[in-house]
Amino acid sequence: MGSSILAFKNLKKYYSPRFSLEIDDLIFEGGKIYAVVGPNGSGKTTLLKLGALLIPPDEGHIYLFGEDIYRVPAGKRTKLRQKISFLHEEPYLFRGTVFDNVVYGLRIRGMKKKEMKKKILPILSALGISPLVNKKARELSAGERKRVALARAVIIEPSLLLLDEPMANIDRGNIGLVEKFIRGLKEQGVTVILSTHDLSQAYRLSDEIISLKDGKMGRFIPDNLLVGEGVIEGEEMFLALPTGTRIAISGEKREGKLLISISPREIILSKKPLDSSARNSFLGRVTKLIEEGEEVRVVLDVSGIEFTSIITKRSYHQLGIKIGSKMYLTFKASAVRIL
Amino acid sequence: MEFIAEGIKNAFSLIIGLDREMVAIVFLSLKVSTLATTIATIISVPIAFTIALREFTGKRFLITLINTLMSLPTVVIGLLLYSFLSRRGPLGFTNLLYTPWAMVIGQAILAFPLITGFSLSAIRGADPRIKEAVLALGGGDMRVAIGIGLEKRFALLAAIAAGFGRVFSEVGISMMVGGNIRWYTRNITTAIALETGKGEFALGIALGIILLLTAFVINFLLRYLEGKR
Repeated sequence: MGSSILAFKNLKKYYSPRFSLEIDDLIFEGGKIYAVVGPNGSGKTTLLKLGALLIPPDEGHIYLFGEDIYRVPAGKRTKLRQKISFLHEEPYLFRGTVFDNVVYGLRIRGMKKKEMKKKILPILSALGISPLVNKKARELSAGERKRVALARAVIIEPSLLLLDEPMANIDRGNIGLVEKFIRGLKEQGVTVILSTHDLSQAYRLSDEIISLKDGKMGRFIPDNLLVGEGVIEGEEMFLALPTGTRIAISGEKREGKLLISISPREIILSKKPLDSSARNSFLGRVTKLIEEGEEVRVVLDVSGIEFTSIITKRSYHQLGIKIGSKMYLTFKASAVRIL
Repeated sequence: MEFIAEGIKNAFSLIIGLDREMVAIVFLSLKVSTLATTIATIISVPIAFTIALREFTGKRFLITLINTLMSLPTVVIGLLLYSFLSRRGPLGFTNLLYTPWAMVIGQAILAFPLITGFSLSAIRGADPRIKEAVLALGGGDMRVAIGIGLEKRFALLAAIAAGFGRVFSEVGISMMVGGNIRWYTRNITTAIALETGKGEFALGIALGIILLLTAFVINFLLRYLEGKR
């Protein structure tokens, strides 16, 4: 068990007229990767900015490296702040080249140009942006900007790194690269707290998941959590539920007791059976409808098992879903994640 | 009607011939207004940064006050400054009344709220992520100010140019605390007022043309800077 790097105690921060982030007790231990998950407006960014000391809390305490950070002299706070780094969801790049941007934090710390050059190269190549080093920062694509800003945040060798949606805007081909880079930071002992709304990414990357909703922390329970028996039939694998329903699964073949979850956004609803390549299709009856901002959470009963699908309001109106409606649920075998 | 044509004709011969008195008047205007703008800039810009970047009680009131002072009439500044600098006034001992220095002070007071106000809106219009980026990378308030200053440099220059344009064309302060003394405190605007009063249009028109040209150059510069930011 590592020591506490960052801790929130009885914390309260109003981040919109309607919501406040309220955290009674949350400790981040050294050398771990934490993923903060939750829908838009749940307070993820606020939590990260509080941790990065970019905004002060309205109430409560933030402990950074064991110090009650807003109750120590400003000079000490500035010193401790230099050990943390933050990546904005849509980072701001300074005028000048990629090089100028990445070494900004080093220049503040008075490093010589020769040393900067030595430090910058491995980071740029790990993030696949070496060819951009002399390019003007303003000419980059959103994904490139994100990687440049990540390099800029990391080069100062922080003990604590806070990343707001680090994979947003990054093109598919480079996501693996960035994920690998973040895992590499953990091996160097850096504590990473990242926010994401991609649950599978949170699982892939993090040691612990912190779930936020409307500014409150919740115990993390994924949607569509199901327990069953793994069954292999030739080339195909299924999860046999106690009720008899069988769900096709892809990936590594495993037998025995399995725990799975299905992302509710990957379950498609339709009035008629879909003629598609997706291997899972069931008929269900709508039992619950919950409005969540621009989306609607539809809970369906499939022969005694509850499934949740999240659809947009528009689809909800188009399909004319009501409690009791019969709907087909369709999802790919690859949408099923074995936990 | 003939006197206007005559005046314009003579004006051009004054300009082309670089009439000595005309040149002296133009130079005094340039000197006083440049100095006043410089002083106002040195005070205004740091104040604008402080107000924009710090949180304190009364901040909104202060911003409203500055915006109000942006339309301060020159005669009011002239009146106040005159009462302070006159022999019986608290600053009478300085003997600055009816000197170019009095004009510099008055014009600096005129430019101060303008440059502060325009700079303030430039800084407040800066991307809030600049501050976050600098702070997150270990920089302090000064670095934040530099970052924003670089980002908004054209808007800040435009604020200064607007201040210069205002003081260069003002007449009330120069007349009241400068006194329009020939070869000493007579500048473009006070000279035009005087010459028109005397019915001598040539010098007035010549100076008017120069004033308009200067205003045109400043506006051109402002348009250019506006396009840049």
